[in-house]
Amino acid sequence: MDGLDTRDQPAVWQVRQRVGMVFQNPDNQLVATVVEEDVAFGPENLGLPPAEIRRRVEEALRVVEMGEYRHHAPHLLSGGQKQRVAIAGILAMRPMCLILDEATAMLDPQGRAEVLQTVARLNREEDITIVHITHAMEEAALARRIIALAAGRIVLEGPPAEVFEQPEALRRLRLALPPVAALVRGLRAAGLPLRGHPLTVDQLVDALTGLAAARRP
Amino acid sequence: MIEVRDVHHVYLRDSPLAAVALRGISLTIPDGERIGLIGPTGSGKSTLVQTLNALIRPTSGTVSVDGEDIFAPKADRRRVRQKVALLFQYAEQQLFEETVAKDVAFGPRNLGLPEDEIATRVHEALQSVGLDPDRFGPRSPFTLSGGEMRRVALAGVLAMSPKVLILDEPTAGLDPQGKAEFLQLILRLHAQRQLTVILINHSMDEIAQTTERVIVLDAGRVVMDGPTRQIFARAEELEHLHLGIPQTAQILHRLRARGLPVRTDLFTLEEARAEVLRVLRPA
Ligand SMILES: Nc1ncnc2c1ncn2[C@@H]1O[C@H](COP(=O)(O)OP(=O)(O)OP(=O)(O)O)[C@@H](O)[C@H]1O
Ligand SMILES: [Mg+2]
Repeated sequence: MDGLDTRDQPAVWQVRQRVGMVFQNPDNQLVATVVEEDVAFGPENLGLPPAEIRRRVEEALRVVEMGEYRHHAPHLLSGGQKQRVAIAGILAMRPMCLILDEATAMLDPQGRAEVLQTVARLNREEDITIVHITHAMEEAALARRIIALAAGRIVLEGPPAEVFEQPEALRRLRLALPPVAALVRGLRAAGLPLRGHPLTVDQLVDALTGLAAARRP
Repeated sequence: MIEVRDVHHVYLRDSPLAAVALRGISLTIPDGERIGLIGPTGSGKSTLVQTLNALIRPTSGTVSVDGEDIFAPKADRRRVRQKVALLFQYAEQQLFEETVAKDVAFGPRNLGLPEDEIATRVHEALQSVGLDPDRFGPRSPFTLSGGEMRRVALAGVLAMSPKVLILDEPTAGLDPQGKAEFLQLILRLHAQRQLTVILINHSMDEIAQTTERVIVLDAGRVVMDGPTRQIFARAEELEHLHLGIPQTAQILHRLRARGLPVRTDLFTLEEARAEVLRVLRPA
């Protein structure tokens, strides 16, 4: 990891500062009795000056839209709210790599979209690597690269457009096509000449309106 | 039938951290309905369903099950919990017995049923959830896959012979096939046992596939309540509530906004496919 050997015990803290993990169950990640203290926990462990810690906590809570809950007790928040606090706690560490282990599973659709937009922005603007572990195929479709594991081995790997061209292999892995890809497949089977690999709602809407325009006399 | 009348609930009342979770909920839930309960994070879904089986006593208002006020001083709340069963989110975390059969037997045993009746119920419940009782009964729950453990937890609930089955995000964390299988199972149980099903779920696609009525909560109030098809036709309102609509329905709405004459009150994959083909049928 960034030249550090993860087997090297003394390097463990350096590794953890670079790779932030947000887990499936937010209850296991919240450590403090007040939201803002929870978010400050990581930066404090890094030994940052108090002003810097405060700035990072503010920013992280703003990104996950939990600023108004800063004085609340984390364990009394709803499931989705807790998860946003946990994500803020990691963001405040300014990691190089953010690993989300089903971290969006408990969020409402908009909360989920906000987290996905946030991590997309962190990836684009801050150059943070994102590893998003998910059972939601429409979320996997947003990645640049998909890796599928089975029984401890990598069994499929490639850009979403390639991976989602293999419905049979996906079925064997107990996976599925994202809804848009499944619709595309059904439309093609019925003879609709859709080109390319639409994987998102926007891409498919563009492809279909393109077809409709070409059809007009 | 469940009747909820003007239920309010405040957590940690009289403390600086008081949180108002429910603000005047009134609902009628007839027997045998398949209901989707949706709403943004923190809107009160989990709180509301816990008042339906008397796990939470609301600050004010009444809940009655089959005509009986479940918070009346003499009410038999154990019987209410048997009638109205709640499968918690990540329910497999609550498995604790050394075998699957013992875990499923836990509820019926607490009801004080005779041993042979308990054995019959365990057998039937495991069969209902698609787990072979002879093969899975003696196994430790902790050697099962996530999806199998979730089924064991559901079997434990079914062994109580409930009339109403409430599921709080039952497919969270399952793989896509596990999710599809679990939802099929719920539909089958609904048909076989004439259960009332109340499903809390953040996936609008799953709600669309499994329910006939949708209740939308926002900030502790019911803000929409109606047939699933009509609710998902109100895309803008749902988006305003942070909820959105199934992806297939999104596609139809956007196509319509771009001038294609497609219907927007459809949402299953098959309906969307047929509708797009109707309008764009290959020459
Ligand atoms: N034990 C508790 N003590 C204090 N407040 C609580 C408690 N549980 C929930 N709350 C608060 O009550 C409100 C409703 O919470 P509830 O868990 O019912 O929401 P929900 O709709 O199930 O949310 P989610 O979709 O995130 O699971 C929230 O504002 C939450 O912070
Ligand atoms: Mg909840």
